[in-house]
Amino acid sequence: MIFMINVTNMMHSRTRRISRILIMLIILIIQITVQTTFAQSRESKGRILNQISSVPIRNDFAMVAARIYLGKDTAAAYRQLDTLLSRAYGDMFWMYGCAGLYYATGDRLRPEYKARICECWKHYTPYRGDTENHFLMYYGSLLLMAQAWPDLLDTDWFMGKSSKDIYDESKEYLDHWIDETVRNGQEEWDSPRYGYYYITPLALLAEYTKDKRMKHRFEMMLEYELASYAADYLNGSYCGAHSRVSDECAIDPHAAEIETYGNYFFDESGGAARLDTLSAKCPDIAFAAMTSFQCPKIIRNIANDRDSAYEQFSLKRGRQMLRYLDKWSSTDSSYDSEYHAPVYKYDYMTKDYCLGSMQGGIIQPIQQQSWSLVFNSDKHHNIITGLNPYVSATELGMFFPEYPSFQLEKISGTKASYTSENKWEGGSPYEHIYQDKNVLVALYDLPDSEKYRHVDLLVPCPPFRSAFIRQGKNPGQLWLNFSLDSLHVYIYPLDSFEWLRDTTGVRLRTLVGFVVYCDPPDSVIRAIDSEHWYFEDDALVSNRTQTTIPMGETKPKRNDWLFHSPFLESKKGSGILTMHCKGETRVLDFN
Amino acid sequence: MRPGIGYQRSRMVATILLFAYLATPSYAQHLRIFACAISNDSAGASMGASSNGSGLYQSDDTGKTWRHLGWDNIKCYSMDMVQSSNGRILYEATGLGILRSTDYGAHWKQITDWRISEAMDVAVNQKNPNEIYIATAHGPWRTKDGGKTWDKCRNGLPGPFCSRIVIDSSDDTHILLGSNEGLYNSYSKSKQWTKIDKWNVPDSSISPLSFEEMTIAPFHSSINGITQRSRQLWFAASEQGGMDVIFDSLRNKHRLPLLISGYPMAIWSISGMETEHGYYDRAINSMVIEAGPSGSMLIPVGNGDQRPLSFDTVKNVATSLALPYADSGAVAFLGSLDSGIIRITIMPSALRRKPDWQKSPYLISSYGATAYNGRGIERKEYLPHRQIWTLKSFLVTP
Repeated sequence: MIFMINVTNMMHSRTRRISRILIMLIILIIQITVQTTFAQSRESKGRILNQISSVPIRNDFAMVAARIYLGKDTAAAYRQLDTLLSRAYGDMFWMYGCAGLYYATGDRLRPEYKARICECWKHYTPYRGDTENHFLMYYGSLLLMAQAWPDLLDTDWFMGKSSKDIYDESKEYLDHWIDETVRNGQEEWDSPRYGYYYITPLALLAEYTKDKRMKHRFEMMLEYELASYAADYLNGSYCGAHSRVSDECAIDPHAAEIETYGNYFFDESGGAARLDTLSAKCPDIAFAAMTSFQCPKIIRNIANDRDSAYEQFSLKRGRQMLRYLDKWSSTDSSYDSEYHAPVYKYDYMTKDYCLGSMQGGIIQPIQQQSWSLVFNSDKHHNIITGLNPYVSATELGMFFPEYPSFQLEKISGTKASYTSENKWEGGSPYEHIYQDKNVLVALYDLPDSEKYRHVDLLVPCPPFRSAFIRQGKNPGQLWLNFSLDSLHVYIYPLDSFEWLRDTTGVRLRTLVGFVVYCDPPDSVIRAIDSEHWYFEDDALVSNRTQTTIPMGETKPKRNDWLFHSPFLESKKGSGILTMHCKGETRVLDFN
Repeated sequence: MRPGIGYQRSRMVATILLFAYLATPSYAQHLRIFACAISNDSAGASMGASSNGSGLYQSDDTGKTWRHLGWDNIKCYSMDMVQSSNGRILYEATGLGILRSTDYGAHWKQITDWRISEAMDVAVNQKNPNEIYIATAHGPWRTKDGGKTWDKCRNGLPGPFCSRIVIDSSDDTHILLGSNEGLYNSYSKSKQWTKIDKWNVPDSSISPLSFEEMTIAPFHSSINGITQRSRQLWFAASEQGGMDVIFDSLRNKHRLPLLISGYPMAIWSISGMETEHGYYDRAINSMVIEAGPSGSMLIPVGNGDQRPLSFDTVKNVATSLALPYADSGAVAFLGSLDSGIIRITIMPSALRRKPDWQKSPYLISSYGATAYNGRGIERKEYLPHRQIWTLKSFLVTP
C-alpha cells in the first residue's frame, strides 16, 4: 500500500514537474514574443540602426557609428570619420559624438582610428559651452575618454591635465549636477529642442561607465529625465511650458527633436510607426539604440496612460543669472544663493489635451515658452500658445557675459527671430500666468517704454476643423470659440483685439492678454453663448446669471515638491523620485 | 597764424625721427603687446557658439604683425603676465576659466576646474605670483597657491557679474573690482568688498581737472575697465555712468579713492598714458582713451580742458591701448568687436604747438577717410576679422 502510494506520488510529482517545465516554457515563449514588440527590443533597435545607416551619410558621428556597428557601407563611414577627425569642430557636440562612436563601435572600430581619436583629444581645443546640456556633454565625454585612456599624462590632453585629474573632475561635476537636479530642480528643464542632449549622453554614460556607483547614478538619472518627459507626453507631443524651444517646435510640437526619443522609448512598437521621418531628423538616437538600456515599463505607462485627467506641479530652476537679478519679473525678485529664479510649473493633462504653464517672467533667454495648450493629434501644429514679444539688452545681459548692447546689436546673426514683433518664443518680465486645471489667464502689464507693447496668441488653422463664433457688441467683451478636432476652446481677449493672418493659423493681438478655457462645462458654455461678460475684481463675470470665472493665483505655488502628481512625487531636497502607475511603484533614490 | 618754414621743417624732421624710432628693432624687443580675441566675426560667435580664430595674439613690432599663441576656439577675454624664476608666465582669462603657459603659448594648462567659467579678467600679484585674482561673470575668485585651490570671494557684493580686477601696484592688499553694480574696493585681499561711492575733498594736485559739474554720476554701474597710471591716478570705465577718474590720494592719506564724475555715456574700456617729457606732455600730461559702442574718444587730462575729442568712429570699440613713443608722440590701439585691431599713430608734428583741441584735433575722423591737418596721422587695421576684447602691453627685457 505504502509502495503504491509512493509510486502514485512519484507519478504525480513527475507530472507536476513536467507541467511546471511546460508552464515555464510557455511563459518564456510569451516573454520572448512580447519582448519583440516592446520598445527597445533587439528587433526595434536593429530597425532604427538600419534606417539611420540607410540615410545618405553626412558628417555625423551617430551615422558613422551606426554603419561601423552594423558593418554596413563601412568604406563611406571611414571616409566620413576621416573628415570628422581631421577637421574637428563643434566643441562639446563633437566630443559627445566622438566618445559615443568610440564606445559604441568598440572592437569593430579599426585600431588606427582609435589612435587617431586619442590624438584628436590632445590637439583639438573644444569650448566647454555655457549651458547645462553643454556641461553634461563636455564632462560626460571627458569621463568616458579618461576612463578609456587612464594612464595619459597631462601633456597628452588638450587642457593640460592628466587622465586621473580629468576623470576626478568630471566625476565631481557630474555628481554635483545630479545632486543639484534631483534635490533643487533642473535648470534647463523640459526642452523639446535640447532634451535629447540629456538623454543620449546619459544613455552612453549609463552603458559604458565602469565605476559601479556612477553607472547606477547615470542609469537612474536617465530614468529620471525620461520620467519627467513621460509625465508631460501626449501622443508624441511634449506639453506644457518649456525652458527652451526652437522657432519650429514653439508652434509645432511634432517638429521637436525629442519626439524621436519619445517615439523610441514610449511607443509600444519601439518607434516603428514614424521611424522613417524621425530617425533622419535626429540620428543621435542611434547611440541610444546601440546601448542595452530599456525604458522601464512604468515610465512607458506614465507616458501613455491618459485614462484619467491629472494635475502636475513641478518646481524647476531658472538659468543662472549674471546681471540684473531683479529684472526677470516685474513682480518677483526672488532667487536662490546661486542666482536661479524659481520656476513653478503646472500642467493639467487629459486624454484630449494638456494645458500647461509656468508663472511668467524671464527664466531662460530667448527660447522660453511660458504656456501652451497642446491637443492630442497626429497632425502638425497641434498647439495654442501666446506671448508678449519682449526684446531687450537686459534679457541678454542677464544670461550672457558680453556687453548687453552689443549682444542686442548682433543677435540677429544668431537668432534672427529674436527681435521680431511676430516671434513665438521668449519670455517677458511683464507676463503673469494663472492657471486652474482647464482655465488659463495670461495677463501682461506692459509699460510704454517697451518696444513691442502687444500680446499675441496663435490659433492653428486647418487641417484642424476650426471655427469661431463672435458674441456681444463690444469687441473687448466677447468669447471666441474654436473647435480643434474634438476639442472646444473658448478664448476671451481681455482688451480689444485684432485678427492677423499667420503662416500656420490666426494671430490674435491684444494689449492686455487672454483667458483660455478648454472644454468648459455646459453651464458655462450656455452663459458664454448667451451672456455678455466683463472683467471685475480678478474674475470674469457674466452680466445676467453672474456666472463667474475666477482669475488670479488660483493654484498655490508648491515650494516643497519638485514633482507632485499621481505619477511622480519628489520632495524638494530629498533626492528621491517615486513613480506610480497602474499599481506599480518605482523609486529612484539618489542618496 | 600759419607756422613758419622753420617750424614746418622741424616738424618734418620730427616725423622722420619718429618713423626711424618706430623702425628701430631694439624698441620692438622691449615692448610686447597682447590682444585677446573672443571670436572671429562670424555671426553670434560671442554668444555660446564656437569661436574659431579667438585666443591670445602677440605682437613684438608695435602691432604691425601678430602671432596667435592659442588656444584657438577659446573666448579669451583678458590676460596677464608675470616674471618668474623660470621665465615669463602667461595667463589667459577665458570662457573655460584660467589657462597658464610657461612657454609663451606653445603649451597651455587649464588651472581652474568646472566651478570657474567665463573668466573676464585675471590679475597676478607681481610680488607673489602664486596669488592670482580673477573676475568672472559668476563672481570673483582667488588662489593663493598658483591655481591648485580656488576660493570664491563674494563677501560684500550684491551680484555675481564682474568684468575687471586690478591689484594696486603700490599696495597688494588693495584690490579694485569692476562689477555690474559699480566699483568695489578691498583692502583685505578680496576677503571683503566695499562699494566706492564716497566723495572726498579734491586733492590740490588734481585741481586742473576742473570738470564743469563735479557731481557723481547717478549710476556708477557696469564697470568695464580699470587702469592705474600712477600711484595716485586711476581711471574706470562705466557702461552707464561714463568715465570715472579716481584719485587714490595716498599722499594725503585718503584711503578711499575720490571719484570725479565724467559724463553719462556707455564706455566699455579705458586706457591712459602719461609722458615724462616731450611735446605731447606740454599740451597734456596724460591722455585717456575711452572706448565704447559708438566709437572711441581721446580725453586730454591736466590742461584744464577735459572735453572729449572724437577719435575714431569704428563701432563697438571694446578695448584701447595708449602708448608713448618716447618723447615724440603716441600710438593708440583700438580693439573692436566689429573690426579687429586699429592702430593709430599720432605724429609729433600734430602735437608740436599747443593745440586748440576742439578745432584742430589732428586726429583722424573715421576709417582713415579724413585726416585733419593732413600729415601727422597713420591708421591701419590688423587682425580685421577678430572680436578684440582687451589689449595689454608689457615691457619685456631682452
